[in-house]
Amino acid sequence: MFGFKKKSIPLIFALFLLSIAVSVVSLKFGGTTISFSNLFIKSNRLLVFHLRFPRILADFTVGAGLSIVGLSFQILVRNPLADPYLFGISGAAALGYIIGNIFLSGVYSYILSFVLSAFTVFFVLVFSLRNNRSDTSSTMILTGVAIGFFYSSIIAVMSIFLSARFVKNIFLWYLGDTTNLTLNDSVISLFVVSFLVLVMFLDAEKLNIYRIGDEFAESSGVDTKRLIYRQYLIGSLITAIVVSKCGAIGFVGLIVPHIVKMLFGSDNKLNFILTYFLGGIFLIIVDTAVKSIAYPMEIPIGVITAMIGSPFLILLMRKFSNAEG
Amino acid sequence: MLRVKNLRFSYSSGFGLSVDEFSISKNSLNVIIGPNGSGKTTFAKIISGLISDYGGTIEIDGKNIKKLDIKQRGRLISYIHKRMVKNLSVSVRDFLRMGRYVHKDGLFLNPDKKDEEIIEETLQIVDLHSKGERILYELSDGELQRACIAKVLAQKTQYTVLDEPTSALDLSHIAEILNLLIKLKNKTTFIVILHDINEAVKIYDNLICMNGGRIECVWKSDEYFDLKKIEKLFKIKLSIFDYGTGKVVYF
Repeated sequence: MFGFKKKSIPLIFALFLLSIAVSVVSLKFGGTTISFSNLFIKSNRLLVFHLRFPRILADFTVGAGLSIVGLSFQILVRNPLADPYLFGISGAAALGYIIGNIFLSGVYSYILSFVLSAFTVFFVLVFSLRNNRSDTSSTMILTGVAIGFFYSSIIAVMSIFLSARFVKNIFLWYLGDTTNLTLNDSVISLFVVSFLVLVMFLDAEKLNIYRIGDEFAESSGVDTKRLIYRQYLIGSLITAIVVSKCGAIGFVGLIVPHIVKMLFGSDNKLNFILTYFLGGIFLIIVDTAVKSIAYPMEIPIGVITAMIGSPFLILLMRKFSNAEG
Repeated sequence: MLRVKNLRFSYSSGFGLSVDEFSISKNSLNVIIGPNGSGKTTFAKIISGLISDYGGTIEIDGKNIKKLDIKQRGRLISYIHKRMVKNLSVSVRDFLRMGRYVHKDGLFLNPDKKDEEIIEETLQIVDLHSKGERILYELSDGELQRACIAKVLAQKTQYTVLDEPTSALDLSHIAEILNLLIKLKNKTTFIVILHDINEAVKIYDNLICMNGGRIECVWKSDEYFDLKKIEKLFKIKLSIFDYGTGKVVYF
């Protein structure tokens, strides 16, 4: 239907089943281990369906969403190091959400979060593309990291004026926290993010062609300007949703797409689907492992992804220091 | 018929292009020559729709190319220069398949039997059929050049703009490409930028001389070959050697 190679279809199906299997198995873990036969009994209902299940859905949503955004941005800027966190978008979304929460309320905080992230994407791009054409890779990352620091510093200043309890909550959420979603919230987030991922996926073939070169794509029937705007806007939207729900979780968008590209090649139609599932599975496994090991303490998931991601980034920078992805 | 009317364009750096009236008829082989920086590539990109912030109109078969959607435009005219292929990690066949995208209605490229036939046929034409599964970065300069030409040929556009298709090729491959252009000119209209005047002389139906952002002259192949004008164009004294079946120009 999409022009995949035939052998890819069982692979996609297998990953879909694996996501479900990993989710169900993860329901067992985290504090008290529950046997499969007891997962669905009434006395465990609160624990399994209202604490663990929403968290697993949130993990999947964050992992899948951020990985897809990373994959798309890496192609768009032709830079293998693009990631919503390293671009400062996650910080922007967080700041927007916090300001919205303090001064406005409800839906406005999401809107502000989205507006600020979209603004940041364009700022980073315009700034780094204009400034230095020969070395955009590192300029882009450095610009993004600098903006990220700037947003964190504003969050820090704001937290001085806020109550201690509020600050601790903000701090934990900012580091990445998938525990705060209700069952309803988590289901809705998963559906909304998945829908947006689907919209981005519809451009996968255009991204395949765009990957070769801007003018090449233009003369091959791809409207590159619209493609770029569409992908950036939806990518910022996904980031804003994920961050306002679960905080600024970094490096997922860097790690997962690279593993997919390494293992499965460069057809974006396939890579979009694989990245979606593997991103989700990756974060469920990491989160479940950490909460089981550290129990009864809670370590924010963003801390763990940063621990895995930072060395990964250094390795990637060495690998791609002079090449294009 | 490709028709240019009152074209005005300038870069922010100041270089400007200005063509009042110009047209190219169907199924002809048009060669653009001119010194470096004379606006050949800019002109080629404008008529291919890659640059769009110009004044005036460009019409192909009566349609203003600015008003066409990009896929429609991609069926009428396409431009290629080896340099615009930046990411080379794609196989030759997949690269050619991208040429078929403009003929697909859907969002996805799902090559059918006909597309695959066209691709194989095109690979044969440019002598790359044994290298279809190679990745572009494994190719030599000449092979990459031929892969680029093959991509626009597989696109089967009415007008095909080739920017320096013979650069980085050895003599036998230059000859092959030039013969190929002659052979295929009844299938598409070529607009070819060449650096070597002798390559141009060998093949042109219309020779378009550009200088300083203007079209200085257009000659048909049966018109008198005025060496003086070529000397003026390139600002160098030239000699011409007629060897019966053709001529060679050199300084």
